[in-house]
Amino acid sequence: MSISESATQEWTVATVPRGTPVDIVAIGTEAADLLMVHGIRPGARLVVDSDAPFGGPCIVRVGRSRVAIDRRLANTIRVEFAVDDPGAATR
Amino acid sequence: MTTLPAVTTPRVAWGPADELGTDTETMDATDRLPVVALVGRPNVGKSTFIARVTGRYEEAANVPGTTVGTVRQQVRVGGRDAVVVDLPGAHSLTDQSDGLPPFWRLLLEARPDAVLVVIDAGDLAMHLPLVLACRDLGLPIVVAANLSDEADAHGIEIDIGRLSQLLAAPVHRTVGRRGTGVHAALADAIRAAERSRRVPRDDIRPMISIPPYPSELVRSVGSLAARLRAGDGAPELSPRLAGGVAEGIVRPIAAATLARAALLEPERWALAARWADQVERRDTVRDTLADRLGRVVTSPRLGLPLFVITTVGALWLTMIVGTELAALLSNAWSTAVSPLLIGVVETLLPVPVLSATVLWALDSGLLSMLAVGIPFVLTFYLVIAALEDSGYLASTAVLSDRVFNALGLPGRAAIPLLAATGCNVPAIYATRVLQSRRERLLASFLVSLTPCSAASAVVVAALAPYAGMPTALAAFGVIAVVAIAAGLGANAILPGRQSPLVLELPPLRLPIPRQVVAKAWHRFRSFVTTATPVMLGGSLVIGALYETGAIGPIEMALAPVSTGLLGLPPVAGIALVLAILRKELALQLLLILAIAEYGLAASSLATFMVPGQLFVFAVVTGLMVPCVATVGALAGEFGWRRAAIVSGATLATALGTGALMARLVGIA
Repeated sequence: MSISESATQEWTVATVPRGTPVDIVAIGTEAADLLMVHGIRPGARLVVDSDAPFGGPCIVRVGRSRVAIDRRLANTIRVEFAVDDPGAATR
Repeated sequence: MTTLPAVTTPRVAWGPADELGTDTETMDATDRLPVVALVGRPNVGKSTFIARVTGRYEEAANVPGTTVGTVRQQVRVGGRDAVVVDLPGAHSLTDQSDGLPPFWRLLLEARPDAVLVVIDAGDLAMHLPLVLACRDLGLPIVVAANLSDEADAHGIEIDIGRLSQLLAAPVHRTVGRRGTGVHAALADAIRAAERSRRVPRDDIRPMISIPPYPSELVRSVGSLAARLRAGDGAPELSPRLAGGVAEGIVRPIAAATLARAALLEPERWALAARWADQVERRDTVRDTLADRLGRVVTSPRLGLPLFVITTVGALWLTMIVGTELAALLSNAWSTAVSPLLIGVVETLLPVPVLSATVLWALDSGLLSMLAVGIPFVLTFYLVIAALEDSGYLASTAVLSDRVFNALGLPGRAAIPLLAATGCNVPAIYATRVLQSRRERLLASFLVSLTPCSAASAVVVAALAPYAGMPTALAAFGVIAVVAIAAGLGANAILPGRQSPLVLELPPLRLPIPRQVVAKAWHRFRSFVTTATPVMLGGSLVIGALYETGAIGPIEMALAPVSTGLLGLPPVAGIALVLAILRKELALQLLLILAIAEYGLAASSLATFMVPGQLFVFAVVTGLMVPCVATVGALAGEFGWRRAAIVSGATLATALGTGALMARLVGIA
């Protein structure tokens, strides 16, 4: 999977390449509130850090916080590659 | 760096209908000290912060084994007296964990005159939404930008003055760990509280004309507040919220902002992100050692081995220290206290049956608290508190999440289950880390099946000398397999579904020894007060049964189960039943009863039980019965009906396994 495919491919937190800054496009309604209190909301920027073993949660970085998200939920978070200011990714 | 507070408390106006003065708070202003509520997200260092002022490490946090609730403490800061209410960490005002009221209810029930919001100076975008939510309740706020040292280490600097301007509230730069700015922040909050209570509500005029939200939303909140103030019905209020308004705990404006939380919250987050951009100055954001370590402990390759090492290490440490402590305490007891106690009781109660019965409770009952309960539980609490304060425990929850998912539990369930290997009672309380009642019940069932240190000791002592250590390990293996199978079964039977994991990983920090000790001690105290009466009462019952000879008929009645089902000698049946009262006594009782029945020749288990019987006895003891204290804890947490179901399921699992094993080893 190369980044150039991004225009045609729908990425989610569960599938997007690790370590790349992405912006959240939309979040499935089921867990929107649960994720919002951790700053995970449409428009926010995040980096998927790593995955817990045995198909466990995805660990994402939002701002300075790290949040573990159940894989099924992670799949409901649609993201796209961040295009603007790359420095913002670390926030 | 402190900004001077505004002369009057800034209030947020929710539109033209906003008339703060019409709220009638009849509470007596002179009688009561000003109340400051302490609010903050989890892991923002709130307990360290408040301990700097009170010198006491009380905890209100939603962490294993603690009473989740509020802690009220009277403080004197800068010559002013006030009551500080420490609330559990919260992500938002609508936070709610099982069986507890939502966070806003805890906060407003405390009737705060001002709120001191503790935030992470290095992560404003994440922490400002809670500040805004508190402010929107119509309460004066003071902000402590805490963890400033960590922010510095990350190369993040914030413009306190600008933040204070944006929030229209005083902001203090603090480092809770070192005490920097803590007193100033609290003193400011107390002043704000005094002001808000002294000034009649009518005189408080809104300072900010329009809250920084879209005008349509502001109007909608404002008109809802106006309707509530006029006493009109508001069907959009949840029953709980309407109840709060009726009780006078929730003021109209607070009720309106809470009712509209779903609309306000996205605005707060967006605003927080904008403000954070305006206020933060960062050169290059630096990764600290703690950041890198934090990534290592959850990394797929190193995380798991580290997890195994830490878990085994923690249990090993508990065993080593616990054993030493147990030997020390029981030696001290039997040389210094026991002879004295026996003398006194025998003098005061000249009837042998009576004195012997009482001694069962006072002498052997207390001894077993000292030798089994206290050393292992206290040590375990210390180890867990250290792991917890280091921030590592959250990582283990993430690593083990997938494994526990199979049992219908999130990874956090690792905490109570680990605790259960020490003692089931605190483990039942520790299930509070789980969110839903379903998860808590499932975890409690697994906890009840987990052999505590006392039951493990019975398994080892019954098998190792007579059948060898491998057999003892095999017994543990059987217990583990059965517990997992029972967990899978319970997950399939119990209706409902597991709530998905969303867990913030706190940064790794060096635990503060004093805080660790205080936390462990706090939990230990509640363990001792729960377990000691049960231990004494249970011993008294056993003593009475034994000394009066009432045990014989019971033994006969149990024979169909003990002999027929499990293939054990009748004495073993009664030992198993009495183990409900005192689990660690299962083996001792068996010996004592056997000697009474078969004579001194029975002083070794091997003389009246074959290895196969010992194996069944050990497995059943390991799995069986939550002891009385555990049943009590279950009832306290879930009610008697559910406690009975969990206990019954545990008992059935144990007996079923025992019967199966008995047939497999050929003793029944």
